[in-house]
Amino acid sequence: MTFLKTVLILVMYGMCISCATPGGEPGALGDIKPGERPELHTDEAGLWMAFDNMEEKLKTSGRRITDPQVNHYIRNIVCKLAGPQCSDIRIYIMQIPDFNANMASNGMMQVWTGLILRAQNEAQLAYILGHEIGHYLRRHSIQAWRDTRMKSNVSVLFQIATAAAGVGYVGQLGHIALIGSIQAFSRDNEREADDVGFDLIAQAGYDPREASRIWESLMKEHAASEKEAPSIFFATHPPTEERIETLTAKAQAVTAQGGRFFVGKKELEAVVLPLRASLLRDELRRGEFKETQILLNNLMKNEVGLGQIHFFQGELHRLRAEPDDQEKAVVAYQKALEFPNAPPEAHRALGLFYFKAGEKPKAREALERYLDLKPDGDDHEMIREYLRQLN
Amino acid sequence: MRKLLFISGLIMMLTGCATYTLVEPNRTEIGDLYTVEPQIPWSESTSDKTQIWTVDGPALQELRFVNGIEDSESPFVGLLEEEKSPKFRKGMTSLEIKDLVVDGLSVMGAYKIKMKKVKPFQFGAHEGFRMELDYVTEDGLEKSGLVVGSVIKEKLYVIAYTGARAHYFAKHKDHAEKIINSIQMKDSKPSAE
Amino acid sequence: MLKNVNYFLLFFVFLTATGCAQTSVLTRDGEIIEKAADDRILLMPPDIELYEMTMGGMLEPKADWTASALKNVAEALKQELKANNDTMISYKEPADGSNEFKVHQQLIKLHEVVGASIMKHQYPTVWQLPTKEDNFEWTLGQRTTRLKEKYGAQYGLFVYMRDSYASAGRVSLMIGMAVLGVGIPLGQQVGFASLVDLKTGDIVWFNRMFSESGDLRELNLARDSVQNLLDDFPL
Repeated sequence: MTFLKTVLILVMYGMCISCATPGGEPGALGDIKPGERPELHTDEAGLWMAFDNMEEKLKTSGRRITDPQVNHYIRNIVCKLAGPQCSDIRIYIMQIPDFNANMASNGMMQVWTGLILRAQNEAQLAYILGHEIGHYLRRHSIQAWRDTRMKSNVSVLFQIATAAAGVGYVGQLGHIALIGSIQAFSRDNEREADDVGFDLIAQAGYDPREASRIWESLMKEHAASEKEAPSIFFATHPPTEERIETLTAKAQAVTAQGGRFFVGKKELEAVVLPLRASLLRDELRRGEFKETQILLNNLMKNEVGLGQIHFFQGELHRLRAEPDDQEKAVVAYQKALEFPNAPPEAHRALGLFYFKAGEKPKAREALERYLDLKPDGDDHEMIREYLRQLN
Repeated sequence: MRKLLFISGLIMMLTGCATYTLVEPNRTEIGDLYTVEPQIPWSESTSDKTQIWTVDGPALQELRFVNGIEDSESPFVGLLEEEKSPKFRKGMTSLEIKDLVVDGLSVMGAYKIKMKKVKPFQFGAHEGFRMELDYVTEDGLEKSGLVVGSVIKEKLYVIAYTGARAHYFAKHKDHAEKIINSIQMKDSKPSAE
Repeated sequence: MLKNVNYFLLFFVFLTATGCAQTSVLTRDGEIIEKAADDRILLMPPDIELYEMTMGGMLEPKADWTASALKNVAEALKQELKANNDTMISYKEPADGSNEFKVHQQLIKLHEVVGASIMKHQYPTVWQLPTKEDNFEWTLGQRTTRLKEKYGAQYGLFVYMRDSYASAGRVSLMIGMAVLGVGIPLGQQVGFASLVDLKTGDIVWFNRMFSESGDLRELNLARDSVQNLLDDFPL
């Protein structure tokens, strides 16, 4: 017992040194100013260094979407929101089909394609970006980092008990905490980022009612998934009723004063449409068919590029392959072809279905139609082989 | 030494990595369906339905044989989370299997995939497909691949040769081609002998 | 890459016994190679990070320490190479997105993967490859001539180092745990370096090192680490 006591005293002494800087209440650190860099000897500078190195890798990552149009578009939104701090923020659009955006303390902002695909208009996208800018301005990363460090120090105290019991010393938390510091913030931090995000979009003239709407549709999608482990954004940003109510009330206060509010549905669509087929393909690859179904339902309501949406509806059925899905897929492909600009792949999918079903004339017709529309597709030699077998 | 072995065992358990054994250049069985001529010595690691051959390590180049994937099973089993693993369905056409392979590669971290030359291909005595592709890894390293596949007796067989586009893919691409062209079904009597 | 680096650290943590600095040199022909005197050697951007190990065992990145380590290691390398009658040339990153940038980036990325593969498959680990048992043949390919032409250098030198030090809290924890007969790591220095013939792309010399002492924050001690790292460096 005296043994353990000595150990505890020694360790407590150590703790006092390492947690001399407290985790921080909201706003305790002061906002980051334009062009500000932390002093080199601080823990914040260390965090910046780690993020700078991460950013070097991000720059040349295979996941990075370099398409100038969408990069330019998102940069403009961020500048509208962040004003003088816009030049401190670097944006990386990452080809990851989950709904997420995050921002590190050094100004590295990641926008995942799953968010771009799901936002129903520019105001919604701007709200999420504003929320992340809020984390940045209020320096939540360094707060989260300090909290984790303190917690890991505390958890060591428990390990001493296990060591005393002869179980031995257990591992280290390592780099996970670093990633955590840009993903998981405290509830207070989340509320604060909500406030900042809201104020930023309201100042920039966006329709503030869209802020709560994007949380609501995220909740709907999550409810449909029936999954225990929610998506990363949902897990780290739980959209509680309370938050939605707060945002709705704030929006009412702003809109009650009257004026014109920018929603930007067409603006966002113009940027997303050229990428949408590839984003939907990535979305299907998640294998979360229930969530994808909600997304497709939302996109169908928008009535833009319906041929493409029905085609992907068919793809969902084909890949899910539950009973009746084959028939449903065929119906969806046929529906897709009723719209102008339907993807030629709908003909291909139908052709392959009829080919397997032994319906030769229909298969031939569909595959020939596909070849007419896409004579140089990477698969044209395979299609010609099928046609040869059909003749 | 015993401690080292224990730790090695622990690492293997944690990472799911198998150790490597030598494959001699004489005709070798792949799964229980066919044989190939390895051309050169390879280091091999095997798991359930997969055999991986490499010379310089799988991060630089690997020849992966996936054998006998059944209906509703994924050729990427063990590599991806269950719901993200694209499933093989019996009756799939070669083109659908090609798409399935591309889906799986993509989920595994192949980005900016560019397909080149998708063609019909004789997999041993069976009808199949062959494709070449370029892609970029998450870390941004450029890679290339050559994939053939076929459905034989309602089961899927795939051979995928991939590697770093600089040097390592090219280094054994000809060997991979010759291996693929040397496929001989075990039940069919080779005509020359 | 994070994954590969973690593997790298894992090896050292598990497979290296404690003690003073340990190095393990590999060369293309299995022996100390000879190269011409007074070569120009291009130092590729050294990949160096310093951490403080907190009491809880978290590695906390340290910007000021890393900045001085980068300076000290570059200076120590320069002196060490000069003593070897070679001239060190520093790499300058080309403009983002330029074609030159892309070519250089691919070489750097390939070297990361090759370095990790050597660590994993060449040294006697559980993943050792039978095809690598009696040869050391690794290359970055012919594209290294682009670096040769640009810098007029015969060789390229890649350096990777990670260094961590215990915080005061960690040290007191160590003392406390030692009383209970439990050893906990206080931080360590690990690194690898490779010398690439820029004419052929071949890696002609490779070394990994591990040490539980050393301090890159001090020029004198950094010099010791660099000497260890350049063990059996071709003359």
